Amino acid sequence: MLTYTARRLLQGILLVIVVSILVFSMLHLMPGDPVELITDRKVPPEVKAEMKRQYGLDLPLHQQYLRWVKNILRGDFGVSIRSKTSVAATFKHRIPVTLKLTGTALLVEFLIGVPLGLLAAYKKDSFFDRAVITTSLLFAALPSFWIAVMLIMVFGVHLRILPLSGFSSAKHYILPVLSIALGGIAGMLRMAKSEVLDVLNERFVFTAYAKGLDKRTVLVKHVLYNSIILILVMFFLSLPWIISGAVIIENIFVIPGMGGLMTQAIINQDMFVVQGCVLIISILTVLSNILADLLIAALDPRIRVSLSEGES
Amino acid sequence: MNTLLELKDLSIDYLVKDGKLSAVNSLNLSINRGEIFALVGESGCGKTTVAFSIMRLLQGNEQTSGEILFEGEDLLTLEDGRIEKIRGKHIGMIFQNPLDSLNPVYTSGNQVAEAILLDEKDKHVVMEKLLKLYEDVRIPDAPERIHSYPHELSGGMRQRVMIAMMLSRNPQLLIADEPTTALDVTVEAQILKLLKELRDDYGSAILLITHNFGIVAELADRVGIMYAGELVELADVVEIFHHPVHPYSKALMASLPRMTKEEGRLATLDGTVPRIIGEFKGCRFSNRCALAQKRCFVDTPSLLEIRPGHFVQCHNEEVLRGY
Amino acid sequence: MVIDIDNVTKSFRVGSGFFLQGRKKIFALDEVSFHLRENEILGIVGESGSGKTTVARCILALTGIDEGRIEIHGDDIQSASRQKRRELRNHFAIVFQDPAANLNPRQRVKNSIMRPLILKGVSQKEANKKAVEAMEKVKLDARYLQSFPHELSGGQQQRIAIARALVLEPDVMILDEPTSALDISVQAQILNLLLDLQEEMKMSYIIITHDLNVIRYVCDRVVVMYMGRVVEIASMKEIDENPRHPYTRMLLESSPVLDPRDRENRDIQEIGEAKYIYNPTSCNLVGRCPHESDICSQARPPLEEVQDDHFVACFLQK
Repeated sequence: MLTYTARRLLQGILLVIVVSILVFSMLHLMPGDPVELITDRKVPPEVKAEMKRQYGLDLPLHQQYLRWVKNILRGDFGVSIRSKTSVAATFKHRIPVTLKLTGTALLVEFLIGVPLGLLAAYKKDSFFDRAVITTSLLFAALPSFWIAVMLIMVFGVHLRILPLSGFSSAKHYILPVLSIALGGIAGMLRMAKSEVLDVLNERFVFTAYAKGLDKRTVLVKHVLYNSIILILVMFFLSLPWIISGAVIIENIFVIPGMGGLMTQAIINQDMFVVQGCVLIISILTVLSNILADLLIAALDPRIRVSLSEGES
Repeated sequence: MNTLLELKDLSIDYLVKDGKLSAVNSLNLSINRGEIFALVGESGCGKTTVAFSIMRLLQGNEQTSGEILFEGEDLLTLEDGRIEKIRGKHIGMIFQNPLDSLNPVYTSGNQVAEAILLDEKDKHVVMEKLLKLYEDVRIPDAPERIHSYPHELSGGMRQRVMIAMMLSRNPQLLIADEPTTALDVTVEAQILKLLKELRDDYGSAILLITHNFGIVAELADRVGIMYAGELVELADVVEIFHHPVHPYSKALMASLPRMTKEEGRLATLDGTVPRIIGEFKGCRFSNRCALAQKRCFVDTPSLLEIRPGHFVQCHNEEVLRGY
Repeated sequence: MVIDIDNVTKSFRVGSGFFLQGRKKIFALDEVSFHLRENEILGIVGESGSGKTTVARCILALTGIDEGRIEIHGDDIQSASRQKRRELRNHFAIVFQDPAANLNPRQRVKNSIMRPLILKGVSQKEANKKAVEAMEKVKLDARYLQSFPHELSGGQQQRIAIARALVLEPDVMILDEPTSALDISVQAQILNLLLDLQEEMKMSYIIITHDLNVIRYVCDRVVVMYMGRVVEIASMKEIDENPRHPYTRMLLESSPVLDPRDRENRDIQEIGEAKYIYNPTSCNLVGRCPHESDICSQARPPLEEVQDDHFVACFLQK
């Protein structure tokens, strides 16, 4: 297990390095002189030359890369071309906001979707099962912005119990989180249900009953335990999403998060902001994949054995 | 009383799209204490359904009527709580493919101990029993093997673990559903030998469900032959092999490869097993029987005792006499 | 001699490993030699891990080999060019164990049978005619040509697999556990069919199975394999009356008797299970053999002719 972890982490680091090279190259892979990308057209050529020096764009590529990496490691993501503010500072403000929004949404999806899915599997083909599936599919089919607007109208305008926009108090969370989560519950639910149904049909569940175990023990110790493995892995694999998250929802509710930042940056060709975002998302993706792999290796002994260097 | 399990007019229908599919029809048989009873038949004859219904492990989309009397109690009418007490403790079951039948995420020892723990709380006693069981089923290096996961064990070992698991609570009846199908021949022979010895040591009766006549010849005391959900012949094992009476039994025996090609060809049976949906009157074998008479297509035959302990379900008097 | 397999070795590396040394080498075939004669039914019997399925794949060059030669009518198939290999494969037809796996579930039976012919350039009309003939040969009603595999029983599916094998007019049919998944009454039908076809069309068969009763019924000669090695080759009669290798005897002892009166005569030893460890300088049966002696773990027994056309790989034959 230890060797597997070490190996996985090594692979992860390698991957992050490759990703960083690609992200770094973004600036240079675009057609034209990088300097043009980071300055206005109106800027005179001497200033451009000066900027070139400042940004180190006259240095050989590998040196630029190393310089870039050094800065990143120091927490310096550069300066936004548009707003002239530190990218890192912007991130510091925006990332927590997005995390709170999408993180909560993911948790809600998980904590509601999974139990509902387990129950639906247990009560397969019952009214409950069909009702739950249909409702969640309905919400999944409706565009999230439509749900958001409906929620705003009902709870914000007519009932006046929840705020319409902004993100300053706990009450502000409710509508935006709901707008995202309602649609996402369907996915979690279906996945949990299908996993449990698969396990329920496994022979070893019959063996458990045949031993004389009571229903509850069989369902928890054998069915649930086995289903959980994949469900947990799915949770971890959904993590990267929480950064790039909810652009539209952030827009509607006027929430200053990463989604909005990224979209604007791309439209404005704000290179350093885009670079920073992509880098963070990539690292998070690699990390959550590694965590998912390690989790599955820890929980499922079959994977563990095939990974060990020795042979039984 | 010597009768351990008695099936009375057991009928099981599956509810399918076009109606009620008959899986088991009016089955009547009894199993005695300590005996090895083989319920044999080809695919689709209903034998596995019978086994699962005894353990009340059928999925729920079927309709059952009749009685399954275990030590006098009708298993079909018991509440969940009661049937859970009977499973494992009084009736155990081992399945076909041992890899699927064991939970991959728990060690073999853990799973066998799970059964022992239902009767015994003292951890030390449980461990002792566990080791002894592993030895009884002849798993070598028991103290280490306890910590192995199912996929780390060979097919034969897994089946031994299953047997250990089910015998741990000393049930009076062990149902073995195709216990050696997935195993190699040399391993199969050892498992069969083990089952026989354990039956002698533990005194449990074994209900053997199989389509493999080899293991029937090896193990069984009495044999019941099923066809299309019905019991068509029931007799002592030697009788069945050497004096089969029912045309189907005869055809089956004649198709066993017991010779070389120079000695002749195996006899074969034309036609296929009928799928019976809804009402059906008459003999279910009639469409394939060379001796079918008009009566066979309209009257359902009943099980008759033609000699002590030898039952046959057939209308044809010549057949019944031509023993 | 139709097929001559000479000293064939085939190994695999198993187990995962980021670094290649994590993988174990297993010898699916270990210096295997035997041959197939004209018009004979050869049985290859063994348990899991014996290499019997790998042999079939190597004969058809579906898998490469590490060492040795496989000759089809004198031509080496393993080192042949793509073109030549395809030509040589024309001599064969193969039928697998799982009846459903033999046939494409998405195609009607008709197409499954005709396809090999069409691929060879036969006209649609001609292929159709041959398909109908093949169905007749396997005693299936021609109307089943329109069916899909899942609409048919296991036995019917297996007949169709045989029909498809026949349209190519092979001189060798390789059957890998052809009846293991079938009920006994169906097995009897299929075995009879195979025997009749072989006589009629003068083919050779290689039947790969673990079921000695089937082997006894249909085979002329038998090759017994254990953990990748050939341990005995003899006629069916010899194997039955005079089995020389301890493993062959083990197999015979373990084979289910089909007569309850014989059950007391069986002597089943607690011989454990095969250990899949490669022993270049020892007999593979060490640890399980009731007649072991020192020499058995010191050298590998060669396959030698101990009697007329009866070969055994065991030191204890003297």
